[in-house]
Amino acid sequence: MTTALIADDEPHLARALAAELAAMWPDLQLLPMARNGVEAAERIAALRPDIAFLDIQMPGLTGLEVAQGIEGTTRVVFVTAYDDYAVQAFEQEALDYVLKPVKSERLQRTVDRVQRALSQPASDDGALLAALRRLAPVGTAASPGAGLERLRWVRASSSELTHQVAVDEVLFFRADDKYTCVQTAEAEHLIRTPIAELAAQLDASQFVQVHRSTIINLAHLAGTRRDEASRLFLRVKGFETELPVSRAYVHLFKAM
Amino acid sequence: MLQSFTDYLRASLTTLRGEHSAVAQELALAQSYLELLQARMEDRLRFSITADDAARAQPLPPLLLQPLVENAVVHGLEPSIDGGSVRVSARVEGAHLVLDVQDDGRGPDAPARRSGSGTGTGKPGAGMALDNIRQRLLARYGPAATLDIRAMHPGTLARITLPLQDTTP
Repeated sequence: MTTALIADDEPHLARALAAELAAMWPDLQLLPMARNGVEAAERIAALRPDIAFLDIQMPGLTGLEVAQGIEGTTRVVFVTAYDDYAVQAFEQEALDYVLKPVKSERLQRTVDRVQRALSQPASDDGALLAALRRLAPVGTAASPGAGLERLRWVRASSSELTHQVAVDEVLFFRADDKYTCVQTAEAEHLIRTPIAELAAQLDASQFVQVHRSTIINLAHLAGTRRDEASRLFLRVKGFETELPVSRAYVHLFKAM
Repeated sequence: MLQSFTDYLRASLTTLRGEHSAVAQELALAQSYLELLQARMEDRLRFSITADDAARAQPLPPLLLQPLVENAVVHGLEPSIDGGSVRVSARVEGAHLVLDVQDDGRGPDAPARRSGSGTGTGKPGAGMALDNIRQRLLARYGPAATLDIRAMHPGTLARITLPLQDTTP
């Protein structure tokens, strides 16, 4: 059965949408509604709905940020009172972008579009899958059968010397202009492998992407700090500066 | 919801027509606005409006109080996950009329509301309302009237202090 989550900070509108959807698509199973972005991100991660109808202006996380953080196969329909996010919505490979107040005829087209997308075999859904892969956690790009070996060493060179660094000793990788900075407790090395490529090669159980430009080694994680604006920072053993966690990845550290 | 909306429209039209309004009218306007917002935000918005009789009878230029109530909801409570409460009060203190709008939301020092794009600056007109209120106070009362914005941890207190007017006919 197809499952859907509705996230909106105005319960009135969420209920109206739920009622309309229930009438148009009786087989659709609606999950308990989320009333803010954080709740939406949590429910999507925990319940893996097939579709998420996301309001954009929500407290906690915006709908766009929620969409960015989705790691499963949940597809997104943005439902918003504003028309100025359309471009970003398409960058997120959203299935649809609907303006409030949602009219029945318009919602019917959305439902048709969602049903069509869900009925297509995943492999035909190139663009969306590519987007999901970009958003996927470290390591899942090299899914079983892809035949990629886990990266165990990185090689960095400075003038005549080369350095062999065991990835276990790396505190974090950080994109730095054209290079990637490899930080260990002792030194900082530069390599040419981009973050995205490293992400695909590293062991997902040990290395986590926490920011577009940063992959950290969980083995060296000392803890987290949340500032007054509730931004999250990571403290790393043997390294003084804290690393920012972008909002899209904050949910990974909820339990800490 | 429609009822609160029409109440709000009627109240704001009545006061907009007049050069002078009274505290009682402005509080009624705030009441219907907050009821309207409550229909949207449900339990995320709680509010109270209190005033003594002497304060209610005082004249008040139209739409001085309203932008402060809007700020409390839009900047204080809407961006907050749990929402919160807005308390509007009017009272006479010595030779002054004191109008308070207090919320327990994000506070005046919180970063401007994110627009989700990172490029926009959120809702248009940020900061305009307060400047506008200050200018209107200055034009009408001179330095005797003030608008104070105070961080309350949590939330914001916006206070308008006006010289008391003689209301005996």
